[in-house]
Amino acid sequence: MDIGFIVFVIVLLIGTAVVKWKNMKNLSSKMMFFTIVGLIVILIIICIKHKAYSIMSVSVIRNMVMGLYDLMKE
Amino acid sequence: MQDRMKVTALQMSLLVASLLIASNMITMPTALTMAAQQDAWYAYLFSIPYGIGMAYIMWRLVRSSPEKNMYEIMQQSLGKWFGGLMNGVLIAYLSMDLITQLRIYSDFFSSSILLRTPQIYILLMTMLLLAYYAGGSMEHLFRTNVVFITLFIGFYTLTPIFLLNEIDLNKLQPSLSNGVIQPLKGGFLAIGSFTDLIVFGAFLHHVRKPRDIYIAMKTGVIYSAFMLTIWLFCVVSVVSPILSTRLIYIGWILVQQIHVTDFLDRIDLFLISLYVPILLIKFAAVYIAILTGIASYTKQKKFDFINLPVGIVVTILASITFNNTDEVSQFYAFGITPISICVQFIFLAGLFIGLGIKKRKSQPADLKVNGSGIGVWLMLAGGAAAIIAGATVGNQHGYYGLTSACLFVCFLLVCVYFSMREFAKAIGKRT
Repeated sequence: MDIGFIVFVIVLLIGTAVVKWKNMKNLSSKMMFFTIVGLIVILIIICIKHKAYSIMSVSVIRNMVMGLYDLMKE
Repeated sequence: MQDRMKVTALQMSLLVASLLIASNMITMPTALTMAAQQDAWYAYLFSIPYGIGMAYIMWRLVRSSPEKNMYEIMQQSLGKWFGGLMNGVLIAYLSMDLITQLRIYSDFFSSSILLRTPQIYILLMTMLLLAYYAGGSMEHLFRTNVVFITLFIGFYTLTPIFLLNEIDLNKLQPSLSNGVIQPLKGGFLAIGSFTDLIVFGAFLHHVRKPRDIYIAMKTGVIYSAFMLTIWLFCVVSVVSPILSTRLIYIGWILVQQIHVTDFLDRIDLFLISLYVPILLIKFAAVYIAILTGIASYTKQKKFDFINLPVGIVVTILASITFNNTDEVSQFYAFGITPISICVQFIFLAGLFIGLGIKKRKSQPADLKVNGSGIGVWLMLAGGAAAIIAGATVGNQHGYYGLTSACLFVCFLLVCVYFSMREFAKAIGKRT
């Protein structure tokens, strides 16, 4: 993943936290915000080493898509 | 921000057109021509009953729980935990839909227009635009849409006239000669491309009167199917069914075929500048529907603080979820349909079971069926009968298939006329 993108994302997240902190009036809102930020951090960490995690490599999805593809092509 | 502004039936109807037309113009014809070959242009007739069925469901939901959106109705009817789980399923589906469509859009831009820009930045800039729209009120989106979709429909309806010197009717023949299975296969994929309509469930609290949403969605669905039929007719008759199965961005190739005069050689650039805003409005509508769903888990019901973080998650997922353009276009054409049908069936069944368990007082009927409403159904039945009759006898003589095709066009045109008349009557009565 591009380093410029990661820096830009960090700046955006810090900016959002600073500006919108007053709008997060209850605990559920704060928890929601930090859950999504945590998800972004995990996604960035696992994507630094690996380029892509294709949904088509999930065997159920691949079989479903290719099954319908073959059915339509017949 | 989740607001309670009301929108008119016309604005809703035009948003339906934005949701359905633009995103199905670029890559979807490839899958449809692969499934139905020269009969692909009949496909969108089959998606109209699905769209009207969805409009009917939305109307029933608004009637049963006015001033509430689908997520709120779900939590109200099935409780906080099970309702929340069902909402989560729908949010996951909508996210997958948005990620897939964003990836197709960014792949298209990476390979056709912005050749040297890294894809992640195309996605990020698009997402920032969507976040900007989501930060405003829903009414802004509806109003912006009215301006762009009017121009878009105006120009794209004229596409057959722009392409008049390129259309070869021989490419449409032999019409309906391969039996009824081919148009049905195309129809199944076309139904899948109309499943985005469930997004309207997130905007139910903007509806003024319950019947408005039914009439608006019905008119929008019929007109969208008509526009996409015109588009597929042009794809098949200009590019040919065999070649269009081998091209990914067939819609882009089609507009490049417009050569009105030597001076107007690049009309495609003008048309694409109308196409992109409509596509972005569709993405914004889906994105706002996702944010509304996520915000339903918090107590304050506003999503401005999660707007950008969710946008970043969607950007990263759109970047990493598919390896290449082939994968994403195949997934969009063949994978979204079964997933969306399953998700929508489970979600709506759960919703109506929950609503059915709760006892409610009887409500007065607010939707009177008039002559035009019946006319729409008769014309749809006529169109389906023309396809079935043509497919039954089309292999005996080319003339039979041609006659059926002409009848199909007539039925579809009259169907559009009846739906417009029904819409005008419904709006006229209210004012």
